[in-house]
Amino acid sequence: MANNEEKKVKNSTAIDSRCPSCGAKITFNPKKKKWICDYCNSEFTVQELKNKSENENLEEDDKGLFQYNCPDCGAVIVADEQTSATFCVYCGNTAILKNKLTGKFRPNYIIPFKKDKEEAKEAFRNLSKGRKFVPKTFNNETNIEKIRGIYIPFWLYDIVFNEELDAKGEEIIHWTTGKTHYTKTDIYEMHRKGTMTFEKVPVDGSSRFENDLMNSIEPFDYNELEEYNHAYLSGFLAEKYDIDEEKCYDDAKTRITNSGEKEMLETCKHGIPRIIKKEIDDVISKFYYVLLPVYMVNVKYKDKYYTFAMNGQTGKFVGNIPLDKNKVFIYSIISLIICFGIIELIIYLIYCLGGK
Amino acid sequence: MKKIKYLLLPLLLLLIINVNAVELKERTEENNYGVNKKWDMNSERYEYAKKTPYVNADEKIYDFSDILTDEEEKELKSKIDALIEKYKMDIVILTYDYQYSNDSENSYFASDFYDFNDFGIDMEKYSGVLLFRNTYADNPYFDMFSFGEAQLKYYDSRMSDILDDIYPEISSKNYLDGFTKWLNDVDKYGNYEELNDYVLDETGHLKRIRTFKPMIFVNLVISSIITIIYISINVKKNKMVKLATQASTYLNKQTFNLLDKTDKLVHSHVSSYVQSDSSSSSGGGHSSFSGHSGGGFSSGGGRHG
Repeated sequence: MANNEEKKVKNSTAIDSRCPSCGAKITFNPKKKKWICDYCNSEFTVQELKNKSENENLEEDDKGLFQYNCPDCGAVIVADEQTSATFCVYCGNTAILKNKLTGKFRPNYIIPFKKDKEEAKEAFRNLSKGRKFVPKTFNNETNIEKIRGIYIPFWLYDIVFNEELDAKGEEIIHWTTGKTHYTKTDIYEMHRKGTMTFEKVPVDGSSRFENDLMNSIEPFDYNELEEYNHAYLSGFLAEKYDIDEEKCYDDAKTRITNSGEKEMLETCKHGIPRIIKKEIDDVISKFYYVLLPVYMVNVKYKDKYYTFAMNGQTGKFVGNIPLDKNKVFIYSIISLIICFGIIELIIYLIYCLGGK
Repeated sequence: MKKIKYLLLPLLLLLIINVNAVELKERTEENNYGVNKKWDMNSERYEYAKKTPYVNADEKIYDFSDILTDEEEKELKSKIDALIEKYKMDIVILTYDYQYSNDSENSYFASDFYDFNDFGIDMEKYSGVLLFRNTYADNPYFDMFSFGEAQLKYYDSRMSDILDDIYPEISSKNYLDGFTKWLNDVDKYGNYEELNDYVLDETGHLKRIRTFKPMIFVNLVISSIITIIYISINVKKNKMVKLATQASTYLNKQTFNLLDKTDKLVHSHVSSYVQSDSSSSSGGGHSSFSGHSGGGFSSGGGRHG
């Protein structure tokens, strides 16, 4: 707190998830879909927790960092602009920066975590199975313990896609009568005009997470979308968006344009259609701001960080696992020797059986 | 008296011609019909031997068609002797006016001529080459044959090249030049490598030797390709992150409404071609033919003209 004087105090509010009965820390259990108090064994539903709120003084420094006092132990916790739920590093209690999830930053929906941390750890351990070039240190317990559940901000778009296109296609038929070989070429011009709706196309609204990584854990089951409530965040980290819905829309547009066009072209049955003219119109009919559950872990291997993510709803774990180059080399040599031996054996057997 | 003179004149001419003619020996039961080679003879083969001119194997040029002068024969003979000395194989030029209806008859005639005479230096493996010119006026023909170990150097494709080389001279009846060129070609190919992987069997037929070859280079290439594919598949397993380019999962198929669908045939055309008969090709490799003697020989394929 050396530069405490320079910090301006803001009337921000943070809430932590504490047991309404005993005041101890409570955490969300994805399986029971309830909040559990480890101290008094009480269980609470969303509705039961809805009335719970607690104020927290929050300060922001000049660099955009916020600090607040942990309601449990009083320690100072620093969080950046995007963090909306975090932990106290001293007592481990969840702290939700309530003021960051209000107004335009209040999510419309949330998909609660369905997989717990143990399942995420197990899934991470399983990443090594069936993969030969995973470094030995990859799934050691130190890495596994780093796994954290984070609610990541996503924009979901409902988009009406309209396209009008002209395409050309060639149909070629061959046949032979007697010794004469015939080739018939038919050229078609195809006109298509159509409309379709894409529902809840997701785009990650945080610049902290790579789009390809977030794309790779899709899809989420939107049937489990719940109306947003702060209480779902307890036990997990959470982010708020820093890229608005307009900027994020470009990614969604690229995807729906590719898929929409593909759908339209699938109706062109004459040969392989080649587009010669097209007009596209896309309209966002609705968009939602949602928090989606993701387990994340960063693994350092040879001075480089590799980020892994697991869909906290479906359990799909993705990431680019670093390659152990020594293993690649050894496997290459062994594979080469085995292949060489097998082929030589086959040649010899063919020779023995009388082949030329 | 005059008439007798006219009758005697052709007889005299015949006598003169006979001076230049090939000296024939007689095949008798005592000399086993001139068959001194190891052929497994039977009555049928003896019949063929009897029909084959029995000649002195030292002459090397047997000009039954009388298309060479004595001088030309001498010139060629000296070259033949030099080549025989150099390559230790027999070299024979045979001309004959032989009416035939099938090319194979020429092959049988030439191979019988070689097999049922004592050709082959010191009768060792009967190695030698023979150029046969059939001067049959209606369909002149020539072909080259090789026998015994000479087949390893003078095999079918090489002899075919030699026949192509001498074709202009032989077909234009420029025999001295044609035969000289042939001897030069025999000399040229005499320095070439012998056929690999072939040996002669007891009856002088070319036989391919089966040897196990490791094919190291080809194997190394195939193994490397398999290894690269195997390693690539396993490396790819470590890459699970991919930027999404499609949104098909989020398409509500029930909302897909095709408002306009028009297909127009704007051009149609038919092209055709007549397929030519494909010529059959041999499977490669080299092989010997069998003569009436049962012995093997190779042929250049023959040329008409």
